[in-house]
Amino acid sequence: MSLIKGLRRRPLIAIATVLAFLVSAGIAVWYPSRLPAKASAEDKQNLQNRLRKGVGSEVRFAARPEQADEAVASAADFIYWRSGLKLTEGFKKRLAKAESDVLNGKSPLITVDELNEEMTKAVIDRLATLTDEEIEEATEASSDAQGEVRSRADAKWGVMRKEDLILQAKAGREWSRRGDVGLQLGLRQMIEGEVNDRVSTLSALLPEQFGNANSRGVTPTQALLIAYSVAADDPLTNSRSEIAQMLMQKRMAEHQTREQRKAQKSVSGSPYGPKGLLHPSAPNLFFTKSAVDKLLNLSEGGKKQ
Amino acid sequence: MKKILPLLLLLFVLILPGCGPSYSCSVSGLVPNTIYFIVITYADNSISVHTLPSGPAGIIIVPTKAYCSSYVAVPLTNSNLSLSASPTSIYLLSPPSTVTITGQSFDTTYGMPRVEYFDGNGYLVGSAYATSVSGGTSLTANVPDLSSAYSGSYQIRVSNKTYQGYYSHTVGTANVSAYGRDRLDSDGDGWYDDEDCDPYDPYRGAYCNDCEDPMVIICP
Repeated sequence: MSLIKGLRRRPLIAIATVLAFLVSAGIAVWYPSRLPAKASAEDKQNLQNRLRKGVGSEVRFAARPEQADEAVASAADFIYWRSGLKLTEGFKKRLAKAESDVLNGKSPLITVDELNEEMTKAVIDRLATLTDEEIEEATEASSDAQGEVRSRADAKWGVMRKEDLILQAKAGREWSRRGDVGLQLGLRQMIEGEVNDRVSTLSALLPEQFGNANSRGVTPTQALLIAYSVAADDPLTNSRSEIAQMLMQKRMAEHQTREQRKAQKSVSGSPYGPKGLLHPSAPNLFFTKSAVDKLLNLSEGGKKQ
Repeated sequence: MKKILPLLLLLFVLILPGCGPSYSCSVSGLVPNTIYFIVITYADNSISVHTLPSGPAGIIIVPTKAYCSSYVAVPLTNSNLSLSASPTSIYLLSPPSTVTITGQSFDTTYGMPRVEYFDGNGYLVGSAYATSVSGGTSLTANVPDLSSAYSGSYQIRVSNKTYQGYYSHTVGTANVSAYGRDRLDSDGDGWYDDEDCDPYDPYRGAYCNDCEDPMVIICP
C-alpha cells in the first residue's frame, strides 16, 4: 500500500507544483532568502531582521479603517515589485473595502483554518479547469535554466523534469475532475503545511503586524500576502536593495555576461513569480478572479453568517 | 471497485510515458546545508552540471535524463576576503596589461588562481588566470579584454582551483574603477544600449520577453 501511496504522491506533488506551488530555486537557495522550517535562535533573529526589512517595512498595514487604501496600495506594490503580478484598480478597491470592513468590525477576521479551507477549495477548483496549455505555460514559467522544476524553493518535495511534471499534473487534473477524495485530502495537507508555516513564522517574528494571526485571524490584505507567499514561495523577506544584491551575487555565481542576459528571453526582471530570477513560479495560475474572490468572500461575510 | 483501484492506479501510472523510468541521481554523504557543484557524466559521455544545496540530510537528488554513470560533487566555499588591486583605476581606452592583487590564501597547488572581472551589476566582463603568485599573498594576472566594458565600478574576484579540479574556492574580491567609456542610451528611453531591446527605438525598453512587460494582471 505504501507503493500505491508513493505513486499517488507524485501527481499530487506535480499538481501542487503546477498550481502555483511551482518553484524553481536553482542556485537561489544559495542565498539566505527562505523561511526555514526549523530555525535556530540565531537563524530566527536573522530571519526576523530580513522579514522586517521586507514585508515588515514595505507593507504599511492598516490599524484603522481609513488606512485600508494605503495598506492595500503598499501590499499591491510589494507583490508587483517582487513578482510582476499586478492587482487591478478594481480589485484593489474591493480589497480595501474588505479590509476596512474588518477593521471597523463589520466583518470578522479570516481565521487560519478558513484560509486553509478556502485556498484548498480554490486550488482544487482551479485544478479541474486547467487547460493543457496552462499546465505547459506554468511549467515553463517555473523551470530553471536547466529545465528542472523544483517543488518549493528548498525542493522539499523533490525535483522534477518539465515533461514529467506536465504528465503528472495532467493526471492529477483528471483525479480532480473525478472528485478524488485522496487528492483533496493530500492537497489540503500540503496547503495547510505551507500556510501554517507562514502564519507561525510571521506571527512569531512580526508580532506587531501578524501577532493575532494564529489566535484570532488575519485581515484580507494579510490573507492575500500569505496566499501570495505560498503560491510564489516568496519568503517576503529582504528589502529591494538587498534583493538587488542577491541578484547580483547570483549573476556572479553563474558567470553571466550582459550578452547572455540580453539573449535570455525566458526570465523576467522580477525575483519571484513567472520566470522569476530567484524563484520562478506561476502564482498567476492560482490568482484568478474566482480564486481570489473565495479569499475575499470570507471577509465579506458570505459564509460566516 | 475499491479492490481493483490499486491495480488500476498502478497500471495508470506505469502506462504514462515518463512516469515509468524517471531517472535521478542521488548524491549522499555530503556536508549538510552546503552548496555543491554537481557534474554528472552519462554513459554517452555527455555532461550536465547543477548547483544545488545539500539540505539538512546531506543528500542531493538530481533529476537526470538517464542513469548517471558517474558524478562529482564539489562543495563551493567562499573565504570572502577583502583584497586590494593595483592599479585601482583603469583607463578603458588604454588599460594596463597586468593587474596585481594582494591579500592572502592564493593557492597554486592545483593550478593558477582565476581572476574574474564583474561590473557593478554582477555581470562577468572578462577573466584571466594568474601568471605568477608570490607567497600566497600577491598575484599578477593579465588584464582581460575590456573593449566592451564601460566606465563604472568593478569587482575582481579571485578563486583557487581545488583538488577536485574546479575553481570552487572563492578567496575574495577587490574593487577597481574604470573610466573613459561611458554607457550610451542612444534613444534616450532610460535603458542603456547594451540592455535595450532596440537601442534606437525609444518605445522599446529593456530585455526580456521580446520587449514585452512581463506583468500579469490579477483579476482582469
